[in-house]
Amino acid sequence: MKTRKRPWARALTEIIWFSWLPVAAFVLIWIFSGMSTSFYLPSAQVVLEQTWQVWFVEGGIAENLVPSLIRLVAGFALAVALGVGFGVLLGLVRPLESAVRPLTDAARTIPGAALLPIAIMFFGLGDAMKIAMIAFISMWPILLNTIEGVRSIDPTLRSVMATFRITRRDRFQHVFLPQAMPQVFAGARIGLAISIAVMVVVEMFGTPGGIGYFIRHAQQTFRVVDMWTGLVILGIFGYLLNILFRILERRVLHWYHAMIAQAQGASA
Amino acid sequence: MIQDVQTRPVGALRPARGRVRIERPRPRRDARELLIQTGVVVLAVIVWYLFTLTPLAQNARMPGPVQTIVRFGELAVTEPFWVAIGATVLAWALALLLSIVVGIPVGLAIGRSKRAQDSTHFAIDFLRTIPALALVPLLLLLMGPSLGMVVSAAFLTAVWPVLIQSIYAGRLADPALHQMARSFRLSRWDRVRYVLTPDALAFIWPGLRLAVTASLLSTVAAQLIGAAPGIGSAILLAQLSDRTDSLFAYVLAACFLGLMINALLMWAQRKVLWWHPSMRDRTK
Amino acid sequence: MTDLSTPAIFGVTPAQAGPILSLNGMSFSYGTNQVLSDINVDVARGEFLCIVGPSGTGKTTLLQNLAGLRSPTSGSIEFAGERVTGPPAQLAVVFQDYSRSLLPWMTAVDNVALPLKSAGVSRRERHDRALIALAEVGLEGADEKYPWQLSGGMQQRVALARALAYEPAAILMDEPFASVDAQTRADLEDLTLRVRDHLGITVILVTHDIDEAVYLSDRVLVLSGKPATVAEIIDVDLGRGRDQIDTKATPEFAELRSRVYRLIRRSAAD
Repeated sequence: MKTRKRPWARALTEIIWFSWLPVAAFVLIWIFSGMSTSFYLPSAQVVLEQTWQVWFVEGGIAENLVPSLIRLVAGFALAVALGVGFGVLLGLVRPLESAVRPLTDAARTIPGAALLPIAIMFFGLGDAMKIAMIAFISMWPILLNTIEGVRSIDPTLRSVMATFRITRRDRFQHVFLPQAMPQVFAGARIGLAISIAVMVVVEMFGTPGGIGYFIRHAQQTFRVVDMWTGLVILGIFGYLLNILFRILERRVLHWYHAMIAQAQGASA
Repeated sequence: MIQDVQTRPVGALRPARGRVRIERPRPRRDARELLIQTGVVVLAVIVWYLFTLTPLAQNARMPGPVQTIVRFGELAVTEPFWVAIGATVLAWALALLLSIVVGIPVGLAIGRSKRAQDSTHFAIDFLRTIPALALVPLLLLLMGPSLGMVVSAAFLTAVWPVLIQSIYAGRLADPALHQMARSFRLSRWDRVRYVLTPDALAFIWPGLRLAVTASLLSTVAAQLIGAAPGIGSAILLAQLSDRTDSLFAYVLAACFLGLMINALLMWAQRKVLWWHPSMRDRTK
Repeated sequence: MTDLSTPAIFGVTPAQAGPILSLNGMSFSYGTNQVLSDINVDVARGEFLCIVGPSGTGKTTLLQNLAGLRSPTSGSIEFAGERVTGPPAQLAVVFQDYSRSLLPWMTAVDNVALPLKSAGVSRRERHDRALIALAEVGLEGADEKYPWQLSGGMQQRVALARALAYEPAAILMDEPFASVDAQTRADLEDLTLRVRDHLGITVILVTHDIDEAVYLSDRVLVLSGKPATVAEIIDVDLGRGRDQIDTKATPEFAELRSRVYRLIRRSAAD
């Protein structure tokens, strides 16, 4: 629906549409939580003030968030390495993939929480356990998506590779990997969300430290406001990570997004 | 992994409740594949057994395959075992149902309107990144270690894939099909039933798949964190009382549950999406 | 700048005699289904040979055998004096579906240079050769574009440039202009002729378009029947320097065209 608005008016309309709900929600929460009498649902104002106090003024970021972030990055990176590595292998060597399928099917359907005690059994309660859990649980969507991505090579492309005698290495670097990238990123996006969730959970059980521990500990000692500040920080943190991820994705897959946009534009 | 559609010879048409279905021949290599897979599983079990002999496993008191199976058998005849399984399945199913009932209509509605999409864009983006399991401590405070707490946590995890895929469905469901339906003057109900729903379903299905597994994972995790009745707390209890064999037995149970749910999912997928192009070319 | 007009660079030295490609009693079957039977033909160096036949005769199968992607079930194919057991190093292929034969994550110049990379050519040299090849097909300036930013005809030119930069002794083309519009098709046909005249390479082009086959070729090989055999190899004496309008207006062209058409119609009726 094209109106004859000037460009800045149109941009303003867009901004309003995107922001009215979050703003309204925030205002409503502010008002209603302020009137709340429940011990467990403190006023938003108090929570935000406390968030500022605990996390920024008193260095909570450095003390609790940074260690979490480091563990998360380590675990996620490991998940990507394992997921892509095995994904390429299993994707290209079909007999192998089908042979180990019962094992992979079983491994990825085990609820991660069930693995926690086992991980503690072998890795203890420290960072090794946390990173191992994050990596093992997050790698499955990446693995599966990589397999699909690697296998979806167009047969025409295969013929091109064969007739021009493209070397194995070049095939891998210039065809299979880029071809699989969109799928790999789709899997990695899911993997990231899972990584964050696993990170929080393992920190609730492992050695002290990290945002998961903070939230759990605050709940157990009935410091409800502190617990809420943990949730707020977690929300912001997760959101920022996702934005970062999306920026990275747009960079790496610029050709893919541009190509899709072109195809959609052409068929519109 | 989607398995091959089975059995009947090519071209055999068989009406199934009013719908025509074309079946495909089972590929010859199925038997051989199965043999290899069984062999690999046996190998894995042997490796497991050998691993339990190592000092690392001995220290951790890791049970071997035989111990685990035996313990599993012992537990399987006790009531607490089935109570735990039942509680888990119940919570899983409730959370999934809630996700569908809330996620699909809301998602479709949002998907159809650009303004609605714009309005909810930030909210959805932000809320979906909050791991529902981080909310378990809060839910514990509000609801205690109850079924409601577990269902809430699982719902808050599983609803997002359903919602997001439903938004896609609302947005992208093939307009040509809509036009065709209207040109044939199908009644609104018929339209929904025969054209819009299958078409939208193809979009929504991946979200449902994710929701099914996400619901199970969150259910067990919430039970673990919050010590609510179910497999999760049974595992926690086993660990606290240092019964590693029970621990492994329950993990095995969780694994079986997951596999059964997965199989259910595959069956449902075949029934529901047999017509979809991605299902037709199953000769991998 | 390398002079591409010297035939020696393309492995075709004037002193060398003998056909570049020989099919000797070549047959191919998929299991019990015989598709090609007893194909015999010698393709001379620098020749432009078109292969035509009714749809479904097995032109694609023949092409796959020529390209070394499949092996004949009996008989043999010899390329540059050696028996073909896999894709020959001196043969380049241009496929029909250009949108799927070019890599969308690489620019045009990188696409053209990729086979050279595998062949071990240095970065500097392969970049130069790629640019020259792109210029040869009329795409100078498009080198930094991605394939999906180019029109269909331009994409096929990139595919052709890729074949040229490879510096093969012969180029195999599989219905290369079937997916473009008529005007672009005419342009690409003329481009191919120009390239052949300029560089002296052998071109073997499979097509179902009879006009195209007669217009482009020195000889037309008509496939027919089930299983497909050589119905006839027709000499096309229309000389060099052909023109879309003038050549096609000549009575010789019409006569050749009818001959081919009749052969195909007859064999299709069998």
